[in-house]
Amino acid sequence: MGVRHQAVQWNGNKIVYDLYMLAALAAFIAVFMIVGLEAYPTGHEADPVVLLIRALGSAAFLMLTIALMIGPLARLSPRFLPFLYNRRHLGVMTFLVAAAHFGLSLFWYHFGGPLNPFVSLLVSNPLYQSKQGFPFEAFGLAAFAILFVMAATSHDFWLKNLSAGVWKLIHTLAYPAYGLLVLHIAYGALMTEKSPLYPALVILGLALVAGLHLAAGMREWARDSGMKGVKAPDGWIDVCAPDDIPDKRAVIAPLPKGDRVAVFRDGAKIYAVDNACRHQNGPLGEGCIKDGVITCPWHGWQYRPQDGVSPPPYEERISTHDARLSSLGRVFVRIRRNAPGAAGAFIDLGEGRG
Amino acid sequence: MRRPQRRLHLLMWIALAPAIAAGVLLALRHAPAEPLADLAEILVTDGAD
Repeated sequence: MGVRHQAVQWNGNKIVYDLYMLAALAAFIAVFMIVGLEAYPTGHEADPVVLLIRALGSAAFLMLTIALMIGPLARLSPRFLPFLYNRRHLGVMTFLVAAAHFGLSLFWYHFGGPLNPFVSLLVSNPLYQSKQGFPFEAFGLAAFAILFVMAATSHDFWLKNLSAGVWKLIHTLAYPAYGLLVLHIAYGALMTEKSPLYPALVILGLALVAGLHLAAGMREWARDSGMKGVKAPDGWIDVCAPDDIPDKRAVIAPLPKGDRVAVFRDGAKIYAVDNACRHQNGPLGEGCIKDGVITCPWHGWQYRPQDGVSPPPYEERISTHDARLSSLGRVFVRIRRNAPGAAGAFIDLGEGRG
Repeated sequence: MRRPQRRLHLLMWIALAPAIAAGVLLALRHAPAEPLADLAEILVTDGAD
């Protein structure tokens, strides 16, 4: 929602968040190194560089696991919504840690030989037919390439120019990247470990990420299916009674063709707007009205409820829907969206209708 | 999110989760009884092999 370009969008909260994240990362690596030096898992003499490579790789995997859990957790419970606000910083930090792991591995195992280190990375282990010695580096490299694209396009500049839909599609590649990372670990580090703890942790991470996404996805699917068979011959749908909408909050209603409308109540007035935020298609209806404007729960983008226009100096626009109160006192919303930024008819309970 | 995105997310995980799990199980099933040597020892860096 920036009106001027900034290389990285920081504010006080994000700086504090990043400092905490850096401190946690430093603590993780320190503990990993200290424990590793005390009891090197392979039984060989402890090698601090190899340990550091593994510490960075483990940290990147843990960070990506956490980053991927935030989305479905926030879908399942609003308590996790605050974590979404800083998720992109976590994602970029994950890439930087993965880059350190990649760079150090390349330097340590492939530098100084007769081959270009990048060529060496790809040809040094040709056992693609083997199940034991499969070149796990290929999985890691593919995952790293995806993380690079995601980190490089993480700025709102790309989000705005690519559109929210295309941007989200690109960033959905985080899921296959996670799968590639799991395989990178399974065919790499786990082959050199005896303890069942390590495979158990990797499987736990995968189960959490996949399970949460499946649970959240199934719930959304069920909500979308709720409108199957609903007929609205006059182009209006019955959403709820006015009292069903908490003040400053919204009721989200699925529309017959798959979109959703957020019906907000602000005192005696009821407005209907498209449920998708212009920023990342966040669910506006799960947000609230702050200072008279609808505020997205994901990153705080704001829109006036009467016309869907962001308050100055911002210029984003979402669509409104017309709303009316039926003779039976029910809130009806017109299925057809108004043009983005166009004022919609709203309900004024003080007058009966707007 | 819009419905196509919601569906894509779900369908991706329906496809990805068993594929990744199968890959991990395959790796664990074929993991050597004794751990492989350290990475530096199993890597061949001259490209001859």
